[in-house]
Amino acid sequence: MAVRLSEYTSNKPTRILEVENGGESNRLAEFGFIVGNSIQVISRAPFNGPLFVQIDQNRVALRKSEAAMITVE
Amino acid sequence: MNTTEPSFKIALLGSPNVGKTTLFNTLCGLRQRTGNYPGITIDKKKGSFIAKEKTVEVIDLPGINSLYAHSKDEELVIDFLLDFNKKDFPDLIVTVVSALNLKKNLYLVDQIRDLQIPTILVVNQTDAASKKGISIDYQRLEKAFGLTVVPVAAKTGEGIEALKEAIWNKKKPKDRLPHYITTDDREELDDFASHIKSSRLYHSFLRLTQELETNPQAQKLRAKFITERQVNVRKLRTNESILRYKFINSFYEEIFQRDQEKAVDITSRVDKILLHPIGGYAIFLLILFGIFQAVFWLASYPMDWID
Repeated sequence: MAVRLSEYTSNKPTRILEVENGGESNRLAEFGFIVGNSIQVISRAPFNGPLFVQIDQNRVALRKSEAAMITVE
Repeated sequence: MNTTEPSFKIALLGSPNVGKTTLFNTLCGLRQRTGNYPGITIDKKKGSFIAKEKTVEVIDLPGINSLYAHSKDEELVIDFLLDFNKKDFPDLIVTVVSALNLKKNLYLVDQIRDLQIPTILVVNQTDAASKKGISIDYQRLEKAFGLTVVPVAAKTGEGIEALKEAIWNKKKPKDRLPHYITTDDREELDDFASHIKSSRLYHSFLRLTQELETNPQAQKLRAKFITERQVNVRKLRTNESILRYKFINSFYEEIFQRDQEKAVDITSRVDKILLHPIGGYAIFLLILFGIFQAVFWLASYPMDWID
Protein backbone atom coordinates (compact mmCIF):
# COMPACT_ATOMS: atom_id res chain seq x y z
CA MET A 1 0.00 0.00 0.00
CA ALA A 2 1.39 3.35 -0.99
CA VAL A 3 1.57 5.92 1.74
CA ARG A 4 3.39 9.20 2.29
CA LEU A 5 6.45 8.88 4.49
CA SER A 6 5.04 11.59 6.76
CA GLU A 7 2.08 9.31 7.47
CA TYR A 8 3.99 6.07 7.57
CA THR A 9 3.70 4.65 11.09
CA SER A 10 5.91 1.56 11.01
CA ASN A 11 9.61 1.42 11.85
CA LYS A 12 10.27 -1.44 9.45
CA PRO A 13 12.43 -0.84 6.39
CA THR A 14 10.40 0.02 3.32
CA ARG A 15 10.95 1.03 -0.27
CA ILE A 16 10.57 4.41 -1.96
CA LEU A 17 7.89 4.39 -4.65
CA GLU A 18 7.90 8.01 -5.66
CA VAL A 19 9.54 11.34 -4.88
CA GLU A 20 7.52 14.40 -5.77
CA ASN A 21 9.19 17.03 -7.90
CA GLY A 22 9.67 20.54 -6.61
CA GLY A 23 11.03 22.23 -3.52
CA GLU A 24 14.08 20.43 -2.25
CA SER A 25 13.57 17.35 -4.44
CA ASN A 26 17.00 17.73 -6.05
CA ARG A 27 18.61 17.81 -2.67
CA LEU A 28 16.67 14.73 -1.55
CA ALA A 29 17.90 12.87 -4.63
CA GLU A 30 21.49 13.79 -3.80
CA PHE A 31 21.03 12.24 -0.39
CA GLY A 32 19.84 9.00 -1.96
CA PHE A 33 16.08 9.49 -1.74
CA ILE A 34 15.55 7.79 -5.06
CA VAL A 35 12.75 5.55 -6.29
CA GLY A 36 13.47 1.93 -5.42
CA ASN A 37 15.84 2.66 -2.53
CA SER A 38 15.25 1.13 0.85
CA ILE A 39 14.46 3.48 3.71
CA GLN A 40 13.78 3.08 7.40
CA VAL A 41 12.29 5.48 9.91
CA ILE A 42 14.38 5.38 13.08
CA SER A 43 12.37 7.77 15.18
CA ARG A 44 9.78 10.49 15.01
CA ALA A 45 9.70 13.64 17.05
CA PRO A 46 6.40 14.40 18.77
CA PHE A 47 4.28 17.49 18.09
CA ASN A 48 4.41 16.98 14.33
CA GLY A 49 8.18 17.30 14.40
CA PRO A 50 10.84 15.98 12.06
CA LEU A 51 11.57 12.35 11.22
CA PHE A 52 14.89 10.65 11.61
CA VAL A 53 15.45 8.20 8.79
CA GLN A 54 18.15 5.87 7.61
CA ILE A 55 18.95 5.65 3.94
CA ASP A 56 21.85 3.33 3.10
CA GLN A 57 24.37 3.98 5.88
CA ASN A 58 23.36 7.57 6.04
CA ARG A 59 21.09 9.03 8.70
CA VAL A 60 19.09 12.07 7.81
CA ALA A 61 16.54 14.19 9.65
CA LEU A 62 13.63 15.20 7.45
CA ARG A 63 11.10 17.94 7.98
CA LYS A 64 7.50 16.80 7.89
CA SER A 65 7.02 18.72 4.63
CA GLU A 66 9.97 16.93 3.02
CA ALA A 67 8.78 13.56 4.25
CA ALA A 68 5.39 14.31 2.66
CA MET A 69 7.11 14.48 -0.74
CA ILE A 70 8.18 10.86 -0.47
CA THR A 71 5.78 7.99 -1.10
CA VAL A 72 6.71 4.59 0.31
CA GLU A 73 5.32 1.08 0.14
CA MET B 1 60.84 30.63 10.36
CA ASN B 2 60.34 28.77 7.17
CA THR B 3 59.99 31.21 4.32
CA THR B 4 60.49 28.94 1.32
CA GLU B 5 57.81 29.14 -1.33
CA PRO B 6 55.60 26.10 -1.15
CA SER B 7 56.49 23.96 -4.12
CA PHE B 8 53.41 21.81 -3.96
CA LYS B 9 49.85 22.58 -3.03
CA ILE B 10 47.11 20.19 -2.02
CA ALA B 11 43.52 20.84 -0.95
CA LEU B 12 41.42 18.65 1.29
CA LEU B 13 37.91 18.25 0.02
CA GLY B 14 34.97 16.17 1.17
CA SER B 15 31.58 15.99 2.79
CA PRO B 16 31.11 17.44 6.26
CA ASN B 17 32.07 15.12 9.13
CA VAL B 18 34.50 12.86 7.34
CA GLY B 19 37.44 14.04 9.42
CA LYS B 20 39.06 16.51 7.01
CA THR B 21 40.22 18.78 9.78
CA THR B 22 41.54 15.87 11.83
CA LEU B 23 43.48 14.78 8.76
CA PHE B 24 44.66 18.35 8.26
CA ASN B 25 45.97 18.49 11.82
CA THR B 26 47.60 15.07 11.55
CA LEU B 27 49.31 16.03 8.30
CA CYS B 28 50.54 19.42 9.39
CA GLY B 29 51.28 18.47 12.98
CA LEU B 30 52.45 21.13 15.37
CA ARG B 31 54.45 22.80 12.67
CA GLN B 32 51.31 24.07 11.06
CA ARG B 33 50.80 27.76 10.72
CA THR B 34 47.09 28.20 10.43
CA GLY B 35 46.17 31.43 8.82
CA ASN B 36 42.99 32.81 7.50
CA TYR B 37 42.55 32.78 3.82
CA PRO B 38 40.36 35.66 2.77
CA GLY B 39 36.90 34.37 2.06
CA ILE B 40 33.55 36.03 1.90
CA THR B 41 31.84 34.34 4.79
CA ILE B 42 34.11 31.50 5.72
CA ASP B 43 37.79 30.81 5.95
CA LYS B 44 39.84 28.17 4.29
CA LYS B 45 42.52 26.98 6.66
CA LYS B 46 46.08 26.70 5.48
CA GLY B 47 48.96 24.68 6.85
CA SER B 48 52.03 22.89 5.62
CA PHE B 49 54.30 19.91 6.10
CA ILE B 50 57.61 18.83 4.67
CA ALA B 51 57.91 15.67 2.62
CA LYS B 52 60.82 14.67 0.39
CA GLU B 53 62.53 17.91 1.44
CA LYS B 54 59.79 19.94 -0.12
CA THR B 55 57.20 22.09 1.55
CA VAL B 56 53.69 20.96 0.84
CA GLU B 57 50.99 23.49 1.45
CA VAL B 58 47.65 22.12 2.60
CA ILE B 59 44.35 23.92 2.25
CA ASP B 60 41.48 22.66 4.37
CA LEU B 61 38.22 23.44 2.60
CA PRO B 62 34.83 23.51 4.31
CA GLY B 63 32.72 20.40 3.79
CA ILE B 64 30.33 20.13 0.86
CA ASN B 65 27.67 17.52 0.23
CA SER B 66 27.70 17.79 -3.52
CA LEU B 67 28.79 20.16 -6.26
CA TYR B 68 25.52 22.05 -5.84
CA ALA B 69 25.72 24.92 -3.44
CA HIS B 70 23.10 25.25 -0.74
CA SER B 71 24.98 27.79 1.34
CA LYS B 72 27.59 30.52 1.01
CA ASP B 73 30.50 28.38 2.14
CA GLU B 74 29.57 25.61 -0.27
CA GLU B 75 29.38 28.19 -3.02
CA LEU B 76 32.90 29.31 -2.21
CA VAL B 77 34.27 25.78 -2.40
CA ILE B 78 32.54 25.11 -5.70
CA ASP B 79 33.81 28.36 -7.24
CA PHE B 80 37.26 27.45 -6.03
CA LEU B 81 37.10 24.00 -7.65
CA LEU B 82 35.73 25.16 -10.97
CA ASP B 83 38.36 27.85 -11.39
CA PHE B 84 41.06 25.37 -12.43
CA ASN B 85 42.97 27.85 -14.57
CA LYS B 86 43.78 30.07 -11.63
CA LYS B 87 47.44 30.45 -10.80
CA ASP B 88 47.17 29.21 -7.21
CA PHE B 89 44.92 26.27 -8.03
CA PRO B 90 46.11 23.25 -6.01
CA ASP B 91 48.36 20.71 -7.69
CA LEU B 92 46.25 17.97 -6.22
CA ILE B 93 42.78 17.69 -4.75
CA VAL B 94 42.70 15.17 -1.93
CA THR B 95 39.12 13.96 -1.78
CA VAL B 96 38.37 12.62 1.68
CA VAL B 97 35.56 10.15 2.37
CA SER B 98 34.53 8.34 5.51
CA ALA B 99 34.49 4.56 5.65
CA LEU B 100 31.50 4.93 7.94
CA ASN B 101 29.30 6.61 5.37
CA LEU B 102 30.87 5.45 2.15
CA LYS B 103 28.02 5.38 -0.32
CA LYS B 104 26.85 8.93 0.29
CA ASN B 105 30.44 10.16 0.13
CA LEU B 106 31.16 8.32 -3.10
CA TYR B 107 28.47 10.42 -4.72
CA LEU B 108 30.66 13.49 -4.28
CA VAL B 109 33.72 11.53 -5.44
CA ASP B 110 31.89 10.59 -8.61
CA GLN B 111 31.17 14.27 -9.27
CA ILE B 112 34.75 15.36 -8.52
CA ARG B 113 35.99 12.62 -10.82
CA ASP B 114 34.19 14.29 -13.71
CA LEU B 115 35.88 17.65 -13.12
CA GLN B 116 39.05 16.28 -14.75
CA ILE B 117 41.38 17.67 -12.15
CA PRO B 118 44.19 15.70 -10.50
CA THR B 119 42.74 13.97 -7.48
CA ILE B 120 43.31 11.04 -5.16
CA LEU B 121 40.81 9.39 -2.86
CA VAL B 122 41.45 9.10 0.87
CA VAL B 123 39.22 6.76 2.87
CA ASN B 124 39.31 8.03 6.43
CA GLN B 125 37.98 6.68 9.75
CA THR B 126 39.07 3.14 8.87
CA ASP B 127 39.75 2.48 12.57
CA ALA B 128 36.17 3.23 13.59
CA ALA B 129 34.88 1.29 10.59
CA SER B 130 36.72 -1.92 11.40
CA LYS B 131 35.34 -1.75 14.92
CA LYS B 132 31.91 -1.74 13.34
CA GLY B 133 32.74 -4.79 11.26
CA ILE B 134 33.10 -2.86 8.01
CA SER B 135 35.60 -4.05 5.43
CA ILE B 136 36.30 -2.29 2.15
CA ASP B 137 37.97 -3.63 -0.96
CA TYR B 138 40.27 -0.71 -1.76
CA GLN B 139 41.66 -2.23 -4.93
CA ARG B 140 38.21 -2.67 -6.34
CA LEU B 141 37.37 0.89 -5.31
CA GLU B 142 40.48 2.12 -7.08
CA LYS B 143 39.41 0.33 -10.24
CA ALA B 144 35.84 1.58 -10.08
CA PHE B 145 36.86 5.24 -10.14
CA GLY B 146 40.27 5.03 -11.74
CA LEU B 147 41.73 6.96 -8.82
CA THR B 148 44.52 6.20 -6.36
CA VAL B 149 42.94 5.16 -3.08
CA VAL B 150 44.66 5.57 0.29
CA PRO B 151 43.03 4.21 3.46
CA VAL B 152 43.90 6.21 6.57
CA ALA B 153 42.88 6.68 10.15
CA ALA B 154 43.63 10.34 10.77
CA LYS B 155 42.98 10.00 14.49
CA THR B 156 45.66 7.36 15.05
CA GLY B 157 47.94 8.43 12.22
CA GLU B 158 47.66 5.13 10.41
CA GLY B 159 48.25 5.40 6.67
CA ILE B 160 49.52 8.98 6.84
CA GLU B 161 52.97 8.06 5.54
CA ALA B 162 51.39 6.25 2.60
CA LEU B 163 49.31 9.33 1.92
CA LYS B 164 52.39 11.56 1.94
CA GLU B 165 53.88 9.25 -0.70
CA ALA B 166 50.72 9.15 -2.79
CA ILE B 167 50.36 12.93 -3.15
CA TRP B 168 53.31 13.12 -5.54
CA ASN B 169 51.40 11.02 -7.99
CA LYS B 170 49.37 13.90 -9.35
CA LYS B 171 48.07 12.63 -12.61
CA LYS B 172 44.84 13.76 -14.11
CA PRO B 173 42.20 11.02 -14.09
CA LYS B 174 41.62 9.37 -17.43
CA ASP B 175 38.66 10.61 -19.43
CA ARG B 176 35.58 8.48 -19.07
CA LEU B 177 32.18 8.55 -20.67
CA PRO B 178 29.76 10.79 -18.81
CA HIS B 179 27.27 8.55 -17.02
CA TYR B 180 25.48 11.43 -15.27
CA ILE B 181 23.37 12.37 -18.26
CA THR B 182 20.98 10.46 -20.48
CA THR B 183 21.88 10.11 -24.15
CA ASP B 184 18.83 12.19 -25.04
CA ASP B 185 20.04 15.14 -22.99
CA ARG B 186 23.64 14.81 -24.04
CA GLU B 187 23.19 16.77 -27.24
CA GLU B 188 21.72 19.68 -25.34
CA LEU B 189 24.70 19.71 -23.03
CA ASP B 190 27.17 19.59 -25.91
CA ASP B 191 25.42 22.59 -27.44
CA PHE B 192 25.57 24.48 -24.16
CA ALA B 193 29.28 23.69 -23.80
CA SER B 194 30.04 25.16 -27.19
CA HIS B 195 27.66 28.03 -26.40
CA ILE B 196 29.77 29.05 -23.38
CA LYS B 197 32.99 27.94 -25.11
CA SER B 198 33.91 25.39 -22.48
CA SER B 199 35.89 22.28 -23.29
CA ARG B 200 35.00 20.52 -20.06
CA LEU B 201 31.67 18.80 -20.21
CA TYR B 202 30.89 18.45 -16.52
CA HIS B 203 31.85 22.06 -15.87
CA SER B 204 29.31 23.03 -18.49
CA PHE B 205 26.73 20.76 -16.89
CA LEU B 206 27.23 22.45 -13.52
CA ARG B 207 27.05 25.88 -15.07
CA LEU B 208 23.87 24.95 -16.88
CA THR B 209 22.08 23.36 -13.94
CA GLN B 210 22.86 25.99 -11.31
CA GLU B 211 23.42 29.71 -11.23
CA LEU B 212 27.17 30.05 -10.76
CA GLU B 213 27.94 33.05 -12.89
CA THR B 214 28.55 36.38 -11.27
CA ASN B 215 29.10 38.19 -14.49
CA PRO B 216 25.81 39.53 -15.95
CA GLN B 217 26.86 38.71 -19.50
CA ALA B 218 27.30 35.03 -18.68
CA GLN B 219 24.09 35.01 -16.66
CA LYS B 220 22.19 36.32 -19.66
CA LEU B 221 23.78 33.75 -21.94
CA ARG B 222 22.67 30.93 -19.65
CA ALA B 223 19.14 32.28 -19.19
CA LYS B 224 18.73 32.70 -22.92
CA PHE B 225 19.84 29.15 -23.61
CA ILE B 226 17.46 27.74 -21.01
CA THR B 227 14.40 29.58 -22.35
CA GLU B 228 15.21 29.01 -26.00
CA ARG B 229 15.85 25.30 -25.62
CA GLN B 230 13.31 24.83 -22.84
CA VAL B 231 15.85 23.08 -20.67
CA ASN B 232 14.39 21.28 -17.68
CA VAL B 233 17.14 21.98 -15.18
CA ARG B 234 15.42 20.15 -12.35
CA LYS B 235 15.06 17.00 -14.41
CA LEU B 236 18.71 17.11 -15.44
CA ARG B 237 19.73 17.28 -11.79
CA THR B 238 17.39 14.55 -10.62
CA ASN B 239 18.59 12.31 -13.44
CA GLU B 240 22.17 13.04 -12.47
CA SER B 241 21.50 11.78 -8.93
CA ILE B 242 19.69 8.68 -10.16
CA LEU B 243 22.39 7.84 -12.70
CA ARG B 244 25.28 8.41 -10.32
CA TYR B 245 23.74 6.22 -7.64
CA LYS B 246 23.07 3.59 -10.29
CA PHE B 247 26.76 3.67 -11.16
CA ILE B 248 27.80 3.41 -7.50
CA ASN B 249 25.32 0.61 -6.80
CA SER B 250 26.72 -1.38 -9.71
CA PHE B 251 29.89 -2.15 -7.75
CA TYR B 252 29.09 -1.11 -4.19
CA GLU B 253 28.23 -4.53 -2.85
CA GLU B 254 31.51 -5.92 -4.10
CA ILE B 255 33.59 -3.32 -2.29
CA PHE B 256 31.66 -2.84 0.91
CA GLN B 257 31.08 -5.66 3.40
CA ARG B 258 29.64 -5.33 6.84
CA ASP B 259 29.73 -8.06 9.42
CA GLN B 260 26.46 -7.51 11.24
CA GLU B 261 27.57 -9.51 14.29
CA LYS B 262 30.43 -7.16 14.98
CA ALA B 263 28.29 -4.12 14.47
CA VAL B 264 28.10 -2.57 17.90
CA ASP B 265 26.75 0.81 17.19
CA ILE B 266 26.94 3.00 20.27
CA THR B 267 25.34 5.97 18.56
CA SER B 268 22.13 4.14 17.76
CA ARG B 269 21.93 2.72 21.27
CA VAL B 270 22.39 6.15 22.83
CA ASP B 271 19.98 7.64 20.29
CA LYS B 272 17.36 5.13 21.28
CA ILE B 273 17.34 6.57 24.78
CA LEU B 274 18.07 10.25 24.11
CA LEU B 275 15.78 10.56 21.09
CA HIS B 276 12.89 8.66 22.59
CA PRO B 277 9.62 10.55 21.88
CA ILE B 278 8.80 10.92 25.58
CA GLY B 279 11.96 9.84 27.38
CA GLY B 280 14.04 12.20 25.23
CA TYR B 281 12.11 15.24 26.38
CA ALA B 282 12.20 14.02 29.97
CA ILE B 283 16.00 13.72 29.83
CA PHE B 284 16.25 17.10 28.14
CA LEU B 285 14.17 18.76 30.90
CA LEU B 286 16.11 16.91 33.55
CA ILE B 287 19.42 18.24 32.19
CA LEU B 288 18.05 21.77 31.97
CA PHE B 289 16.73 21.48 35.50
CA GLY B 290 20.14 20.17 36.60
CA ILE B 291 21.94 23.14 35.05
CA PHE B 292 19.44 25.56 36.55
CA GLN B 293 19.89 24.03 40.00
CA ALA B 294 23.65 23.92 39.66
CA VAL B 295 23.85 27.63 38.86
CA PHE B 296 22.11 28.56 42.11
CA TRP B 297 23.85 25.89 44.12
CA LEU B 298 27.31 26.90 42.84
CA ALA B 299 26.54 30.59 43.12
CA SER B 300 25.64 30.17 46.78
CA TYR B 301 29.31 29.63 47.65
CA PRO B 302 30.74 32.94 46.36
CA MET B 303 27.63 34.63 47.74
CA ASP B 304 28.43 33.22 51.15
CA TRP B 305 32.03 34.43 50.89
CA ILE B 306 30.91 37.93 50.05
CA ASP B 307 28.58 37.90 52.99
